[in-house]
Amino acid sequence: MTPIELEAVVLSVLSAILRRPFEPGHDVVRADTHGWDSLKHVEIVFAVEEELGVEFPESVLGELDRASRFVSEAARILGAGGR
Amino acid sequence: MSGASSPTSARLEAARVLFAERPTRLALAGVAIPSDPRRSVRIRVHRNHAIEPVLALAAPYLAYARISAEFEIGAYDDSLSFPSGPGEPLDATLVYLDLDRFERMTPDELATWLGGRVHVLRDENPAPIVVVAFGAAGRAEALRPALESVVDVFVVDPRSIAGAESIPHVDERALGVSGTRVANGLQGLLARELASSVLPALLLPPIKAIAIDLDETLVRGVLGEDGVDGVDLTAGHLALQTTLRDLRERGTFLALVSRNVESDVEALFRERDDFPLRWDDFSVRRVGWGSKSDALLEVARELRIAPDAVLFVDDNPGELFEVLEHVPGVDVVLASRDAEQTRRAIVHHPGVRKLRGSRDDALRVRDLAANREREDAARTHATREDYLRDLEVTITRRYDALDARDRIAELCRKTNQFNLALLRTSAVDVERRMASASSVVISATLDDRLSSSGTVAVVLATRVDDRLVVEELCVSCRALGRGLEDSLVLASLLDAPLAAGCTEIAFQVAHGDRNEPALRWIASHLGIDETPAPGLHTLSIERLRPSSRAAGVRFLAG
Repeated sequence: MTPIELEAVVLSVLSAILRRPFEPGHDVVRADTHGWDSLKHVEIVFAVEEELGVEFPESVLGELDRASRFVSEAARILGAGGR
Repeated sequence: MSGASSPTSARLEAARVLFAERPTRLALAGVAIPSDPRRSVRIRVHRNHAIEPVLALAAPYLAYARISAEFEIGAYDDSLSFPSGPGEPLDATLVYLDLDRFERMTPDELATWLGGRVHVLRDENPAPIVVVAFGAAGRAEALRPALESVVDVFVVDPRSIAGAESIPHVDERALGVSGTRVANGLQGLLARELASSVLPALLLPPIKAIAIDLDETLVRGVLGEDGVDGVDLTAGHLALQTTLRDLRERGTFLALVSRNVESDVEALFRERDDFPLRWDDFSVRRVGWGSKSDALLEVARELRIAPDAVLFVDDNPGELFEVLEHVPGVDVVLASRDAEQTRRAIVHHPGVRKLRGSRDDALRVRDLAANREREDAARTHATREDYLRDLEVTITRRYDALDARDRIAELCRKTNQFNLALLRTSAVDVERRMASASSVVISATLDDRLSSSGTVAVVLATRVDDRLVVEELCVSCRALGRGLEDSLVLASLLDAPLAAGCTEIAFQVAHGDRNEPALRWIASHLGIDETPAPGLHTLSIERLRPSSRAAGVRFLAG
């Protein structure tokens, strides 16, 4: 998947879980996003993993604090051959 | 057909997602359920790991079940200290445990300790308790006997929900961010189990019958075009028919509602010995060219159940819309070309699951079949007394029968038509009444030479001076229509030791949506034509005694 495709998936997850639209091209940052609390964070992580077929390592789970980090981490995993 | 973009269309579309093999979080988050009337419930959660990720997934399933749930979630607490709440009534309690956090305890020690904690919880609140026990294989099952010996306690083992599916159960990696080791895939199945099956079984009226279409539903193909040997029993249809047969064996009626020639359909079920379902497995068959809504109403009438206790399954959305338009309260499942999807939509449909099967459930289907013989017998006897004597009708009364506690509570909770006070008492309250010297719990079983109907009548009464106050009175719909209501209720009531010395009986009356048969019954004893007002209505025992024992019926003490 291209970074644009990955971003589309991540934004679709963020929109569905946080119940508001997010447009491509603008990073979504957890600290600036109302409702992106620890409970929603878990849902977002699990949902992105399901949609992309990846499993983020434990060491980065807490660092996925913006859409772009999800995209870069997923790209890294997928580039390395997936899970 | 009236349907595109309607609430019904939205529910059908939602079901396609909710009952998929593995619904994803993204798909579930996108499910839109119409905001039709919902039952509001309060559920308290005691837990030692995070339940929130599961509840997020459960939300659309609860909405589909028309349940609006308020969860009161306590802090993480391995000690299960159960701080007392403000005392507001609850509808259910969830105890959500990661058993592996108690790894220092042996299985026996854990069962003893946890059993004690559940007893404390039981004494605190009469609401049903569901213990969701996640842990290493076998740990939850080892607890089940100790926990389920407590009244109205049910154990759910998340591992058993996954069954043979090869999905990970544990995700240690996610513990730090999610607060639970339950793997995401298992969380989805657990959410569906809790919100579609377990909680509806405790909180909603049950589905008593499944009325199902034939072509492209029970089989792949169209009988009228493909013929007996041409219709296909795919692996999915085989599983669907097997599941329906199992549901029937546990007491859910099956009805066949099909647009076909009846002799052709009968031949299909007789000749295809690869079908798990047989022609006689359907308690009612409506095969013909009339409307399906008329057929559904006839099914409900013949089964002596309300139409809203029937689940209708058909592959034609037009038929579903027609039924929904003309049969109030009925719910529907759109059969999919993938019969496994249809099977999941049926078994997970709210109200289909029974948490605990009983002997009485299993008797239901056979007892209905015997009704036809009873009706034939009624036509061949000159008097009612001869008829009852020939059938060897026997009513057995029991007082404070602890082994019937759950069935008694079930009758109180689920009987709608012949339910005088609509108290909807719990198994916990039934047990408390049994232990009280001033109360009596009366149950009556009904048998004849054709079948046993099991426990069909319940009376809860309390002695107040020289008066017996009946606070609940129910007769199962399976016993109605035989003219035995007085014999089931009054004979047992007047013979109760607690009634000795009483001169009158006061009946608590409440008005419900469907309890007109019970209201008519008390009105006839009161000698009035109008519906009695809610509240207490008193009758002298001498006035009730003459009708309390039908001639020809044998009365026994159990």
